[in-house]
Amino acid sequence: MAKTKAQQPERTRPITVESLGAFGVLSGLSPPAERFDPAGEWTQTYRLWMVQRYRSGGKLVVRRAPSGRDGVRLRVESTIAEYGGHLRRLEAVLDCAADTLCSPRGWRLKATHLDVRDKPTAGSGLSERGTLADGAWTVRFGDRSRTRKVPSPVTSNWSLFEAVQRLPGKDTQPLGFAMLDEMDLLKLDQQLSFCGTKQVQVGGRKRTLRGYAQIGCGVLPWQYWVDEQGRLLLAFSGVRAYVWDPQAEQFVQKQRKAAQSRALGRR
Amino acid sequence: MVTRMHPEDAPPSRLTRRDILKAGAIGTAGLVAGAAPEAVARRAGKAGVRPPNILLIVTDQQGLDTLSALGCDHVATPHLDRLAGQGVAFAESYTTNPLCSPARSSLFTGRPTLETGVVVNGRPIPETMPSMGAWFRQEGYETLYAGKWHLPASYTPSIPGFDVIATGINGQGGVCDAGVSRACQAYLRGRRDATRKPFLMVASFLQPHDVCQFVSMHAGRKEMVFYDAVADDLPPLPNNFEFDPREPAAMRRRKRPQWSEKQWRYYLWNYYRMVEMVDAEIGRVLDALDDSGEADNTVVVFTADHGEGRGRHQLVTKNYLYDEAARVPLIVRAPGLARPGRVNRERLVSGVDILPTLCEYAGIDTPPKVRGLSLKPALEGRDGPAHHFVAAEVTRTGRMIRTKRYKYIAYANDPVEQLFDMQADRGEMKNLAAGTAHAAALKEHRKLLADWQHGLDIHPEAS
Repeated sequence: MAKTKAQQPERTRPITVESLGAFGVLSGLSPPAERFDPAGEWTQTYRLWMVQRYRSGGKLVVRRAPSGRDGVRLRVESTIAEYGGHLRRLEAVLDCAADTLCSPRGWRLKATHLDVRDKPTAGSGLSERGTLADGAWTVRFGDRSRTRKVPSPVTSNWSLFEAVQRLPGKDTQPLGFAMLDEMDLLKLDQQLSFCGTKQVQVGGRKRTLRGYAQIGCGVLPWQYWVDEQGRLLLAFSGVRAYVWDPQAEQFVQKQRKAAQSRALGRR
Repeated sequence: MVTRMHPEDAPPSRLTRRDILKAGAIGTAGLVAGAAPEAVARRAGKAGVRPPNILLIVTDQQGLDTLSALGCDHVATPHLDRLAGQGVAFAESYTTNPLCSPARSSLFTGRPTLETGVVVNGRPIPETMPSMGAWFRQEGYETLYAGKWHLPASYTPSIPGFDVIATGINGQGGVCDAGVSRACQAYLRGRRDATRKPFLMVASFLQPHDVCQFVSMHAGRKEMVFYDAVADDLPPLPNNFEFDPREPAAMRRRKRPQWSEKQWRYYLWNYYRMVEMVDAEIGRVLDALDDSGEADNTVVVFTADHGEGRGRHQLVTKNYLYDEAARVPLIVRAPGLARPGRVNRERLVSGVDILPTLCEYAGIDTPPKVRGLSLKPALEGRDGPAHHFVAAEVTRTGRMIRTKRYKYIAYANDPVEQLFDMQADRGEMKNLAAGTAHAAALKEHRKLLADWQHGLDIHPEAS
């Protein structure tokens, strides 16, 4: 039964594990209990929630596969629904080192921006490739390229979704690094540290989550919370939260159709 | 917003009667219908050069002194610093109205909000009033818009005179600003044909507006989540943290957060991270402009709709006339600047000056009845008309007159006026209106305000 307004928790609380729980975001989740190998092959799907009125409007899929002797391949898909039926989509393939931070070595990225009729806008069709080697960060697009120096170590925002699942909890030493946000915004002086454990109800079961906090230039603090198996269930920062949810794709498709009906119906 | 010029400062009118009739009688829609790409070629032939592209970057809720290049020690803004180093920054730059929709209505029309009628959020620019997109499109520009509009809808796929290449998500700058910069990046990198029409692109970011969410999430002494690792990095309280309780009633009614010193400083720390977030997105757009090969023929203007309280006078957010809310960054990078890297600390500028400045750079007429003045002569080191004062409005009843020395604030039906000596008291802590020592200045500023308002075509819904 839907809660009355008076019964609903206050909708302007900062995002925390507790507030996500209080708002019912965690109650519908049922992560499998069987063994999970963070260093193996897996797919994690997250639903994007936004703090203002706790609405959801997108998804993030991260697929991991070991690659060669010392590598990891990450495939990333991000979809964000915007007003007026616009849709922003990013697809990236990252070849990373199998190191603590899953540091990218090379990648391909495509960005599309669709209007309500699924037609690409004039701001769509971005395609680029990049490499990180010996302190040089190179991005290639078309027949052009740009190279900059970057401090080491460097990782990416998506790599961190992989890396935190392999960290050893309270034994984690603070990690310092630079970060490529979406592979092309350099954010310096990042630090990732263990920030404790919490017991929460997830899908009707009590789970013990362990957390890591990231602070640094150009980001509001991120918190990443993994379950006993290491599976990343929650990642949040500022006004957004990514919550583990294998049904996110279906939700996004349903929401997209509804947005298109509303927008096109009005015209 | 603003101003009233001295008669000798009036810019030479290049408008014909036909122009005025065209704008007034058929309005914006008519201007779009009359789009004339040949206008660009005509002007190019006349001047011997291709008209410049224009990139207008707008952020939301970013006060003037939030750039490391302009002296803020608590933030790292390498991309805006680069722009400031290559351009000219104006240190006495004021919004017409420190609220989103009103301020934006002035940016896009060159008119004060008493004339646009957009004196509160969520109103449209009147259809009969020429505005930037349609005006430039009529002159053969390719006009593109990405991000926040708020006239009336915050985000919309349909903006008069513009092709919308990205919308956004209300209240979620941390989520949607990347979509704005990515769309601009894709368009700019994809422009490979130098014979194409020049473009006017607006990149309208929401950050650091997410500070509004931070404030509402932590209102009423709600617990904040602190991180020990930043304890040594928290900015100090501002010098003008205190406030005079004998403020105008509109200010006394404002809720001031009852935070501890640590909470105030943590709020500031978060705000500056949001500034850094938008700086990074701006960097993506500026890099893409470089990648396009057209940066040398592009006028880049960076500004914000209004500022943010930041604890000054123990205030947060906006919608009042102290400098922290009313003073906004303005940086112009353009071909032919007299002294790139300079901070102009003398000239009073206003949001109404943006449109006429862009028009002059493009070599096109300024729409009729625009109240602003082009900054191009000053940017190129030439003499030109300048404002004797700039004006701003707020909450229907509040008015501000800023001259080089003083700032005067008055609210309708409120006997409490404020007069600050902006040279001796930059923090606006000592109200001089109550004493007699500055009676002449008070009288002069009252008259400036009355005369300014009297000279406006006030929109019926503005009063």
